[in-house]
Amino acid sequence: MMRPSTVDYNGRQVDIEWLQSILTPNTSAKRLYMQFSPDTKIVTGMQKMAQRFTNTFLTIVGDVKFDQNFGTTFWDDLFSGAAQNLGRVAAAVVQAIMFAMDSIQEDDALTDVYGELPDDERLEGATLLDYSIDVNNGVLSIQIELTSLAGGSYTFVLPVQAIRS
Amino acid sequence: MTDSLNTITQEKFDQAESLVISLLRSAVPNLDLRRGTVLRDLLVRPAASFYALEADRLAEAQATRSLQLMSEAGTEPTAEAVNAILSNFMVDQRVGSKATGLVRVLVSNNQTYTLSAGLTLTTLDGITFGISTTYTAKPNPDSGDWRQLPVLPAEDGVNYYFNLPVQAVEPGADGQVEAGTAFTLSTSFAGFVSATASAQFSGGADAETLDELIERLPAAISHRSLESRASIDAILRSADHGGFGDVLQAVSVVGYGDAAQLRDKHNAQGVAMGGKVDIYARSFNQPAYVTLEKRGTLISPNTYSIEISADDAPGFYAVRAVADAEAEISPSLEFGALPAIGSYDVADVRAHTNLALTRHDLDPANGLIESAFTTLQTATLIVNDVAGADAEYRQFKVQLYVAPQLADIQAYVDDPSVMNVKADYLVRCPVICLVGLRVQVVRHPGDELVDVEGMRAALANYINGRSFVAQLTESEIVAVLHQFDILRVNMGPEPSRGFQMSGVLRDAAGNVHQLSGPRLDLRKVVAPQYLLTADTIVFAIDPNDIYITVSDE
Repeated sequence: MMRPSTVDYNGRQVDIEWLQSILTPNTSAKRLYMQFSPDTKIVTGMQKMAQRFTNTFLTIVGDVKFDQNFGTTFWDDLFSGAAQNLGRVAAAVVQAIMFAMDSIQEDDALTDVYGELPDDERLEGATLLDYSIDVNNGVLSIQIELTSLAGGSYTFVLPVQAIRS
Repeated sequence: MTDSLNTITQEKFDQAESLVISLLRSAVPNLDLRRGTVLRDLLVRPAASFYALEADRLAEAQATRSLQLMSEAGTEPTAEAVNAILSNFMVDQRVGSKATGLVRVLVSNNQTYTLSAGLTLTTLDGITFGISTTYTAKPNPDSGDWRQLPVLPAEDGVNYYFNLPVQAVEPGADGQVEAGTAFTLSTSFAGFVSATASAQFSGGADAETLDELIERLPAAISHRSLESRASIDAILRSADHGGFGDVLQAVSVVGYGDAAQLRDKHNAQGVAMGGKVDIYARSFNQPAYVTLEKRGTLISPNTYSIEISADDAPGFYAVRAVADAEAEISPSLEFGALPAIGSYDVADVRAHTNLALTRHDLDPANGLIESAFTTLQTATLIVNDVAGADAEYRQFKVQLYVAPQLADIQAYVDDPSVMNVKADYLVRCPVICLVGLRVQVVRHPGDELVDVEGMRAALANYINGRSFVAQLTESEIVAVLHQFDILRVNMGPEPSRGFQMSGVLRDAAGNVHQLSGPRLDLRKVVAPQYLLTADTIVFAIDPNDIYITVSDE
């Protein structure tokens, strides 16, 4: 949940918005889905941070040509059967979170290459809050909270759809 | 040329990506290009990939923009890349040629044999030859059909043979196999006994390497007329022009401003006016000489006179020897002196002919010097001390040092379609400093074999490559000897010193100069008025004048 504050986004580095969000009923966390909107917007601040984290988290490590270390093992673990029980899901998610954080924090430190990053866009931590499996619909829902160096937090749910055979 | 992203290395991509990020940030600093951003995935990575691809393609194109870069790359470039550059200069890389020859096929029966096109014959060294047409060898072939070969009785009285024309499959000088070289057939046939080369094969030449082409190119692309030193050299050597490339070892062009150019000073002030060129053409490796049989006329007791016309030995340099017609002349010179061992004492009196008729400008008052070593030169040899001679005429054997094909080269530059209408070109035999060498080499303890013949050949090769240079030094000679496995050359003090080098040369006036010591320094004998300068003199040695002794420490 975002802390109430007034932030001046002038002069911020921007990205193209890719992560859409909807408020699901009876939850305080946004449910994210990946899609470019019909009227493309730019994104900055914590939303950009969440977008970076999500992109990194969901990229299969080794999938990106010329950047074989980018991404996490999340999908590989799912494909190898981690979704069979919640304990394995948790372990896979936690490990993937670690991979994603390392990757993001590595680039955040390269200010001479990418420029300065304000504290509210610098990822300090990522925590797995909750997770559940809807077996009937084949959906794995992961609730993650991101915290920035500025103290702000961003909680969201990642729905991961299984491929039905 | 690279046309796939799969050939891009990680390193090249990283370099390209860094550059793209740097360029974008300098232009649009508020774009977040970190990994995980959409801009990184959709903008930076594709741009970097294509940048790396284009950088590779550019590097490939740049590497083929010059022959020197191709050579330095270390990999043999494609003929297409080389010829693309050469086409700018209307020059072709020499591709080599295939050797041809006759194979003597020995067969057991006097009957008809058919050899089908595609048959190959291979030597023990693996050189393959083939026939491109079907031949029929028969006892009574049709005379009008060149594909029918006669089968003839062999010398052994038992077998028969026919000569089969073959051509090497690949170009190269190694196709010029020696007579008697044995072949195996790809497909044998009944009655086949053996196949050998009937005579040495010919016509094989190696393709020109890139380094050889780079060395040849400046001369090849020089302006195609007799206007500069480079172009004169190039035109004389070019197969499309003079065609003397196989014989010319070195060329020195003496023209305006050169000390040995006398012919452009035909004015009251003796000032050089240009327009005259003397071409000193070294058309020999080791000293070349012709042997003539000439009739001498008795001019006084025991003394004969022999006339050497301009056509006998055009532009000859010096007398090597004069002996009786039936006598053998030594292959060696007296060390440091002319004439050769066993020759009569000879006085060489030069003259000239046709000065008034030639288009070349020579001063009659200085005709002896200005016609020296050219096709206008004549001579009278006075042979002294001919024992027991009283016949009016006597046959002599005369050996004269020459520059082979000098007359042909002169004829070429005189050709109206070739000659430079602004200048007068006269071709001369170079002044030859005939070198004699005596060396003593010390072998390693325990060594028995020292390659003396190899040393002699290497020394001769080196000295005969020294043309139009100011000196020949003992250190150069010693360096050549140390290419062989010896302990040292005996360079100790006299009288035990094992190194002696001498040189003898004759100037245009007939003066003989002798050089000796650790350095044959032509600057000691420079006399431009007698055509003696470093630009006119070459070092040359006959291997018979190299004496090598081997000793132990």
